[in-house]
Amino acid sequence: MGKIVSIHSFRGGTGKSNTTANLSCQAAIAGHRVGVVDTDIQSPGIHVLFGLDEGSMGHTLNEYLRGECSIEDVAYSIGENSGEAPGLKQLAGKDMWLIPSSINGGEISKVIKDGYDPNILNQGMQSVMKSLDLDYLFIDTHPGLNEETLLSIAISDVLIIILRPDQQDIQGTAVTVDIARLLDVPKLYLVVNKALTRYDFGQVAEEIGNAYDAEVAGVLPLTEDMVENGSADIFSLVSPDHQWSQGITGVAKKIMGLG
Amino acid sequence: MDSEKKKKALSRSSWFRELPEEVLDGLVDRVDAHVLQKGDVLIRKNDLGDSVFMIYSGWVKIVVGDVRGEEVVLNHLGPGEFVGEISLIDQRPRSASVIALSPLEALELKRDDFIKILNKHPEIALYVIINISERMRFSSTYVEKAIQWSQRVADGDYGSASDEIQKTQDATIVDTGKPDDVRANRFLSSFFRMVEGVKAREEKLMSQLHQLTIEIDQVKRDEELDSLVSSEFFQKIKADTQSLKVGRRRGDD
Repeated sequence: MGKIVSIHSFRGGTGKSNTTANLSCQAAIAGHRVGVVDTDIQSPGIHVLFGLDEGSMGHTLNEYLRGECSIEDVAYSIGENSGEAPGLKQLAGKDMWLIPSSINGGEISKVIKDGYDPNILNQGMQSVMKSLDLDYLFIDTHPGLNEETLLSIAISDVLIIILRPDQQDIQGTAVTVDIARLLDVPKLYLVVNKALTRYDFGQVAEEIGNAYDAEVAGVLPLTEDMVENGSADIFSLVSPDHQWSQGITGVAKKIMGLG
Repeated sequence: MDSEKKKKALSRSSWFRELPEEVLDGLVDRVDAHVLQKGDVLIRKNDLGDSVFMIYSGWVKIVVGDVRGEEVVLNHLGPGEFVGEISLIDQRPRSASVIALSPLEALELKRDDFIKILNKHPEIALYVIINISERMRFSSTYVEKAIQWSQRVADGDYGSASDEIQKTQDATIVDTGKPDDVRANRFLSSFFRMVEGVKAREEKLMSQLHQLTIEIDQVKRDEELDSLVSSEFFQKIKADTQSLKVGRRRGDD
């Protein structure tokens, strides 16, 4: 049975999309059948990391939510469209699909104005899990705790909460952890991203873990190298030996039950 | 101190050594001898002063206080040197304190007597000016060095400052035979011993920065959780959670 892995953060800017993309690619590289859903319909972004633009996107999650196509129509094969970027081309032939949200301004304002039925989203995810026979479905959520996010948390087998080591994230994450427990999420991991390199990462992991009584699956450094990579390509595939990549690989192994 | 000794002292001082012997004989009666022990104060800063002192034997330090009242050494002076010449000339309070670094013998000449002899032998003025010029030149070097040290500290270069302090830790008297910049460095090193305090404070701050403080406001946490949990949508999701998951498992079979 496949697993739903939701990646969540209390605020924007934590590196959530980047983390989701890298985790999902690590799972695909390991030979799993992997889907990635961008449920951050209000501010989609993960498609950029997979080299998609508006022209190459085809159907979007927005159309599925309006009942205009099936979710399977939206699933875009990364394995068949991996391109030539140094990281992404390693995904050639992998069983990996992206379900993108529209980046068209009109589509985004429409969804913000009209909203959508979270249950339809849920049905779509269940459907695609089955039809593509996915081992893992990664959900890139909208930051904060809105209805869609609550739903994605509720249906998760694994919830990853990403936080930066700063006061607002630390406070907001506490509530998210409480919610996850109330919703009986089977497995909860915290990932600390953008940690200043002068911190003792082992100590950060221990203190954050103790503060929430939850497992910290990784502490990832704040790094300029990542910024240089831009928002294109998959950093952990481009620079696998980098400290950040090693950290994300460790998190991916925990998700896959290897770490 | 007998007259012979006084005359000898005057005859080898930079101001008076060119004076004819009979003039020196007359001057001997005008000067008062002072004998001090190590640590005694010859001149106290801000006192009114109308005289100049000439060191016959022993050494003095010229000092001012820093903002915390601690001593900052401006100079060391020894035999044949004059101290207190600034107030002698400008008639304003003493600009620094002068303290004996060793047993000291000094001669004091009052302003009135100095003016009288200056009127008769105006060439003395040139020697006084040369002497004051040397002091000014040294002051410039001192200020320049102080700025250099401050810049090093400001740049966080505590290492070289500490090295310098280490080198001069046991320095006692810094005699006037050494170049001005070497002497200025020696005096400043004692002042810049404060660098060690700055360094320690910075290290303490850095270690605090290295520690991440995790503070969760539990009241706020509970309030936010309550408002979320009491929402209709949450209640529905909570109720549906089981069936959502069960439904998926069933669908997967």
